[in-house]
Amino acid sequence: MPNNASQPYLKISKLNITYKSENHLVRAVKDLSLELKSGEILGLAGESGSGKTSICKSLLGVCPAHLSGKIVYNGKNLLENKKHEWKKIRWNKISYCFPNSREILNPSYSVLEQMIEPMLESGFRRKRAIEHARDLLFKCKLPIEKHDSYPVHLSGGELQRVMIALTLVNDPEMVIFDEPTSGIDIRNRNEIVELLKEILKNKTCIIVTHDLLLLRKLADKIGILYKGVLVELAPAHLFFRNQHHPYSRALYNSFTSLETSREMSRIRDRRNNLSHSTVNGCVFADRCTQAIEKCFKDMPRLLSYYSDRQIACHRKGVVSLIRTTNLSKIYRKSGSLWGPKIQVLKDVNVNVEAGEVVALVGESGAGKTTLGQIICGLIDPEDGEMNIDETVHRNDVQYIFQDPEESLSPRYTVLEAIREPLDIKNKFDLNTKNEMARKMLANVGLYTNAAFCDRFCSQLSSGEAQRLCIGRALITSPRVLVADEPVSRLDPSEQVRVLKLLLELQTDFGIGLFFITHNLYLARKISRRIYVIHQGRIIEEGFTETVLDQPRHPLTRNMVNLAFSKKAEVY
Amino acid sequence: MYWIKKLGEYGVVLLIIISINFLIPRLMPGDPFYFLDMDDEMSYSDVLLTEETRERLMHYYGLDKPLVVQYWHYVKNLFRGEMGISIRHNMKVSKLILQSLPWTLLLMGVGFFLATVLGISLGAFSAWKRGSKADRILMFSMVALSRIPIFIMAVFMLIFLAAKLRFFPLGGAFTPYMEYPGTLQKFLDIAKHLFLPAVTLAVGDIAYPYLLTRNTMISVIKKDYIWAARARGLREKLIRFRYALRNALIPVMTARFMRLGQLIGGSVFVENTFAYPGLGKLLFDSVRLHDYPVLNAILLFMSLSVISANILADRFIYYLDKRVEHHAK
Repeated sequence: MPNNASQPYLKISKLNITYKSENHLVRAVKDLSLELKSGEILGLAGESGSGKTSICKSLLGVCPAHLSGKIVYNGKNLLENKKHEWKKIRWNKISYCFPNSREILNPSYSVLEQMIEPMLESGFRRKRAIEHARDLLFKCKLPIEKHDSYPVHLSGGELQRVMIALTLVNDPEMVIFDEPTSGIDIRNRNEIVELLKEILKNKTCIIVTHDLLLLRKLADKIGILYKGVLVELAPAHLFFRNQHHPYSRALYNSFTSLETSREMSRIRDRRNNLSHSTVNGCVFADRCTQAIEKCFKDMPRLLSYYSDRQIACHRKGVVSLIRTTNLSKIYRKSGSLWGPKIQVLKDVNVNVEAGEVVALVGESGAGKTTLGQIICGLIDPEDGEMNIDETVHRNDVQYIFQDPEESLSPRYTVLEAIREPLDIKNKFDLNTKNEMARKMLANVGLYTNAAFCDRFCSQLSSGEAQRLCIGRALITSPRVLVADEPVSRLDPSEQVRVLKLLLELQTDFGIGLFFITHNLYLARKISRRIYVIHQGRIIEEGFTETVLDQPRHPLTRNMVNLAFSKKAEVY
Repeated sequence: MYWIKKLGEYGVVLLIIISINFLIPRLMPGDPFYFLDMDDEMSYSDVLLTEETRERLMHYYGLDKPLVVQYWHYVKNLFRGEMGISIRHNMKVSKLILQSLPWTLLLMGVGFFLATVLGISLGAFSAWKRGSKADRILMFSMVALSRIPIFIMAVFMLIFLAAKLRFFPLGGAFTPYMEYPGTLQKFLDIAKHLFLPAVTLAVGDIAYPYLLTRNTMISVIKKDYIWAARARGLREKLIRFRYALRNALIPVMTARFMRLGQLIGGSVFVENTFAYPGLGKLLFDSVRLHDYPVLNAILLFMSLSVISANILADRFIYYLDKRVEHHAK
């Protein structure tokens, strides 16, 4: 180990891994730089094909690709290692727990036989090596009668234990674990996590996985990889509180077991009809909802935009689409210039980030609708500021009204009603507009036939009217959507359909959804963050799970108790 | 249970084979006394075969009885361990076979061993250096060798190495009527006679293990456990043998054992070309002379060797490939 504690134990800089196939190059890892301190546990996460395994292999010099850059270990660049130099590193200094697969072990020799090979290689006597191997297998809780089995006779869990024991035979300083828990049932999984915790106490470690839950339990530092690029690097406790890169946030959100109550969401699909080429740009640009032109042109570097973490994003992470500072609003009694003032909002600071659902909860008359309408620009605040992101046009903020029937002109036909925003924008000719309108009708689950399109809005059921309103709000592809109790009028099955639709559309367009409701269940199910408003003031804010599980303000606590104690009665 | 079932299967196969073996020689035109009638240098006597003599002989050997009765006698005797008496040699068939068998086994054994060891080693070498010049040359010559019919090869060897250059004797398994001063001299004499036929056999056979080893080894080299072993810091030699070759051997050895059974049939050409006194030569002579009991016995022996080679292959795979054992359970 290095004498100087401040010196990194392992330093990777500008690592590029390029696979050559017949006629094209595949860059599996691009400009990867990171440092690992002695004793630190780094978790590298990303979906399959993000270059995780290539990185691990390159640390041991077994990656069959062209490598450039530097991997400095003990002051020496591993990439320049000669064969005999690797011999000192492999397994003696760095060992690698291979991804769980039967193909990793030689099918023709017993487990024990393969365990002792690296020890014999480094000069152990056979008898001593066997003893040591048995000890380790025992420690890793492989039943003793299985020690002499062949790999094919072991279950996935047992094989994983063997693999872990195998990494430890030469007592390395650093261990790389590649998907140590994938494909293993929950009981075995927990045992393996416990085992890893025990093992990692005095080792430096890289854990490569797509399992964020595992990293939450074990890692000190999290790196998120996307298509071979490190997009976010943050201390683990901060990462699990909030993710700043659009991809890491989406990845986090799509993970089922991290947030137990919230609806899971997927990561938006690749856009196919891109006019820009993404070869030189940000790797995530074609799936990113907040990409600007620069994102398609230059590859962002990993920079410390925040004091606590580094991200690679030209937009400095997920942007706030709307941010209000000290908003205040005073109403006077209607029709009167001198009547008593009612302070509806006071010093309200809220923000809505791209692709985020923010819930605003509060009792009736707490000022929820007023706040929504100010955000939407329907009314002006008395005091305070509203900042809108540079990429968001005023028209890109849309509103879904509380009462769908009231917000639709009864004299309009369905087609006219949904086309109305396009008519106002007046960018397209009539045919295109009708086409878009029909498409949107289909999107929100309404009929597109002439009979339905020619119906008057007054003839719609409330569910249909609600959908129509949502469609009308979405037809101009807004960036921010303020939804004021959008489902309160619907019966439960309709509610689910409409909400699913909203969330789907949100995923695809990266809409910031400002969701006004008094229904805490709903807020818990769909929102990432929550604002609690009471008498015009925001009394509590934070991540939904935190706020609802540990409410701090007495009023919130009261509200939560009221709402969720009912739940206890029901079940 | 597994083995009882297997043995049952082989029993049925054996019965079918015995029946076919019985029929095949008798389907040839002519009979065992035909040669007595022939008017060429192949006939051994000037005795004119009368109709009467022929009938007496047919009766003597039981060949005048219906085929079914003959078959019944054959099977009955076979189960008693009696294989009959050679018509041509007037000698117990078992004794006749025991005379030739050691020579065949020696020839086959050496040829098979040479082909297997060389084929596998060269195949493994080729696979490890795939794409290199050595690999390409080896590959080309092996494919070329496998295309040359074995008897042409035999004749070629005979003409050049034995007749022209006189490096080796022209035929036989040993120098007749030779008094050996010691065991070493005897051994050397036998080895000298063995060399050409064994090499011919090996050369004719080597391409199969070579190509199969090369192919399987190339696919094994791409397996994860190869790079995983390298990551563990193991020596290349260890990886090459314990990891790559050991696993590539599974299909190769299966194929080799299957081949072992066929080899005795393949020896006919070589033994006759080199006048090597083995089963192959005996078979050839017996066919010519319609020596039914000998033919039946040799055919049976060949079939048995194919079956036992298969059993051996099964057994060996059981040992080599841990997965077979797993699935058998």
